[in-house]
Amino acid sequence: MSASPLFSVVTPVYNTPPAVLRETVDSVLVQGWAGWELLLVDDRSPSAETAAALEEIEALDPRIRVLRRETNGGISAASNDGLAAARGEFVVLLDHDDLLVPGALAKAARAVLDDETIDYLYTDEDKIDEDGYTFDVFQKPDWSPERFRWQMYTCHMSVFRTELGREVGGFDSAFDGAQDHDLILKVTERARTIHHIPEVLYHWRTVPGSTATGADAKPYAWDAGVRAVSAHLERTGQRATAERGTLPGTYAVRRELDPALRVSVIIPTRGTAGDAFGKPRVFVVEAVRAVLDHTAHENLEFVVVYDETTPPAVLDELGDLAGDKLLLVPYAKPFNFSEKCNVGFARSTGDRIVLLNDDTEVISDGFIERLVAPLDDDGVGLTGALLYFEDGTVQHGGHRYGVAGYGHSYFGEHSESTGHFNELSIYREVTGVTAACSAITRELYAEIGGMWEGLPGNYNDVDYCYKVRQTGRRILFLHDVRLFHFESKTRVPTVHAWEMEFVERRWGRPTDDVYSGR
Amino acid sequence: MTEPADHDANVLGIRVDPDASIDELRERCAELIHEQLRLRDQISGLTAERDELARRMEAAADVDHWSLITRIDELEVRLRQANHLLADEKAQRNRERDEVKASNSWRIGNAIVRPVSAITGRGRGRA
Repeated sequence: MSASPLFSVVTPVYNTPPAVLRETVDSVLVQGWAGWELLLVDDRSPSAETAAALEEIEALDPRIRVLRRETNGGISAASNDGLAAARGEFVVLLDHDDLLVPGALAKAARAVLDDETIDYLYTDEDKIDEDGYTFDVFQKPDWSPERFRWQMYTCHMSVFRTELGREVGGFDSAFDGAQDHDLILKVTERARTIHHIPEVLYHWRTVPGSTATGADAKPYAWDAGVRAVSAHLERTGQRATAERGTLPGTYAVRRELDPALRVSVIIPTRGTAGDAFGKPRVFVVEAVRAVLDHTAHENLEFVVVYDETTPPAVLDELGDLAGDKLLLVPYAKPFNFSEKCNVGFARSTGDRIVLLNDDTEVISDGFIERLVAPLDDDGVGLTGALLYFEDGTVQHGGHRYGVAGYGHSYFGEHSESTGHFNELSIYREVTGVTAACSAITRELYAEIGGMWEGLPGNYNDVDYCYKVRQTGRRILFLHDVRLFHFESKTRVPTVHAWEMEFVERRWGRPTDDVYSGR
Repeated sequence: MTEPADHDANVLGIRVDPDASIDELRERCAELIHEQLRLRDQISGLTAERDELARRMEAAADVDHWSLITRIDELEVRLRQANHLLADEKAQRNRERDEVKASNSWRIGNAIVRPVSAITGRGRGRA
C-alpha cells in the first residue's frame, strides 16, 4: 500500500446534461484528498452538448481523463473501459449525475490506510433532488452478506481494489441494470476485508425515471439482479435459488431443509389458558397445533418442558395432537426460562434446536423449513422471526442493542410496514433475535452453553445472542417466518437493574448497533 | 476378562448404578448434558468478563484526564448557554401571551366565548 492511495473515479457518461455533469465533476474537484483521477467514459453520446461539455471539463484539471468510445456499448462496457484505464489502487464508482460529498475520498483513504486488508468499502448515502435538497438518508448496516443477497444495499459510494475488480472480470453486460450488484457480489466473495463507513458520503440524484426514485422504474434491472444472485449462489456452492422478492429491487433466496435433519422444538410452559382473538385457548396446545399446521418437515419432535402445575388435561391434549412427536419433560423448580430451555435441550434428540414460547401462533407456511434451513451455512449461528402482537402491530423485527439499552426493532410498527429501506421485507443480519422464536444447531447450542441460567426472565436471549456472535457467526432475521406473540403490549415488563448489569458485566455497555441504523 | 472392582466409579468419577434402568440412565445422561451446558456457559461468560475487564483497563489507561476535564468545562458552558436560551424563550412566550391577552380582539373574543363556556362547562378550572 502506498502512503497516498490513488482513487480512480469511474464515471460512464451518456447524454448527460452539461450542468448536471459539471456538478458531478465539481464534487470530485473539491475533494481535499488530492490522490484521485477522474475517468469520464463517454459511451458515444449523440448529444453535441455533452461532447462539448466533456471537452471543457477535460481542460479543467490534468487528473481528469475523458475516454471516448467508438461505439455505444452500454453501461458495463463503458465502466469496463474505465476499469481497464484506471491507474489507481482503488476504483470509486460515481454515476454521471450523482455527487460525492466533500471529504469522501479522504475518509476512504483513511480507512484503507488504517487497514491494508480492505478490498471493498461502502458508505451511507442519501438522495438529492433537482433543487439540491438532500433527503432519504440510508443508514446502512455493517457488512451483511445475507442482506446483500436480498438487496443491493451497499450501492453508493462503493470503492473496490482495482486489481480485484479486474480479477473477477469487471462488469458483465449480461447483468446490465444490476451490473454493480453482480460485480460487488464477485468482489465480496474474494475480498479479505469489507469495510463500512457509517457516514453519508454520496448524494444519489433523483430525476423522474432514475433508479433512485424506485426500483420499479426498471423491471429489467430487477430480473438482472435475480440472475446475478443466482450466479453468486452457484459460484459459492450454496444449495439455494434466487427469485424476485416481495418488493421491487429485493430478492428472495430459497433454501431447502434436508429431510434427514431432525428438528427439536423446545417449548417451556405452565399450561396457561387465556383469550386470543376473543376466544379462549390453552396457549401451548395452540402453539403446537400451529407449528404442525404450517410445517411439512416430518422429522420433528416437540420437547415440552412443563411445570408441575400444568393441568393433566393439557398434557393429554398435547399427546393427542403431536403423538409420538411429543416428549414431555417435567420441571419442578421456580420459574427459570433459561433453565427450562436447557433442560429441554438436554433431553432433545434433534440436529437443529428451535426455542419457541408457548404463547405464540405460527402464521406463515414452511415455518420449520424456513426458520432452520439457513443454519446450513456455517457462518449463520442463529435465526429469528417476525413477531406480531394480537392487534397486528410488530412485536419483534430483530434485536438492537444501543446506548438506549436492549430493544426490539420496529416495536409497535404497523403490520404493513416494510421497514427502513425495506428491512422488514428481507432476510438480514441483526445483532440479536428474541428467544421467543429462534433456531440454532445442536452443536452450537452445546458449544456456547445454551441459555445463561443466571438470567431466569429477562435478557437471557441478549446474552445468548452475544455468545453466538462471539463465535464469529451471524444472526439472521427472517421476515417471512411470522408468528403472533400474545405477550401483553401494555404490560410494563419487570426488568431489574441487576439483569442489565449482569449482561453488561459480560459484554460491556452497548454503543451503536452496527446492523440497525433505525 | 475381569469385572471392574467398583461399579460405582470410573475414570470420570461418574457414579453409575449397575441396576439402573435404561430410562434412569437416559435421565442421568441428560443431567450430565445439562451440567455440561452450565459449565460451558460459565466458561463463555467468564471469558467475556475477562475480555471486557481488559478492555476497560486499557481504556482507563488511555484516558487523558485533562482533556476530560476540559470537555466537562465545555459541556458546562453549553449547558449554561442552553439554560439561558430556554429562559429567554420562556420569557418571550410569556410576553407574547400577555400581549395577546391584553389585546382588544382577545377581550372581545373572551367576552363572546365566556357565556358559552359557562353553559357547556368547557374551560372550567382553567386559569
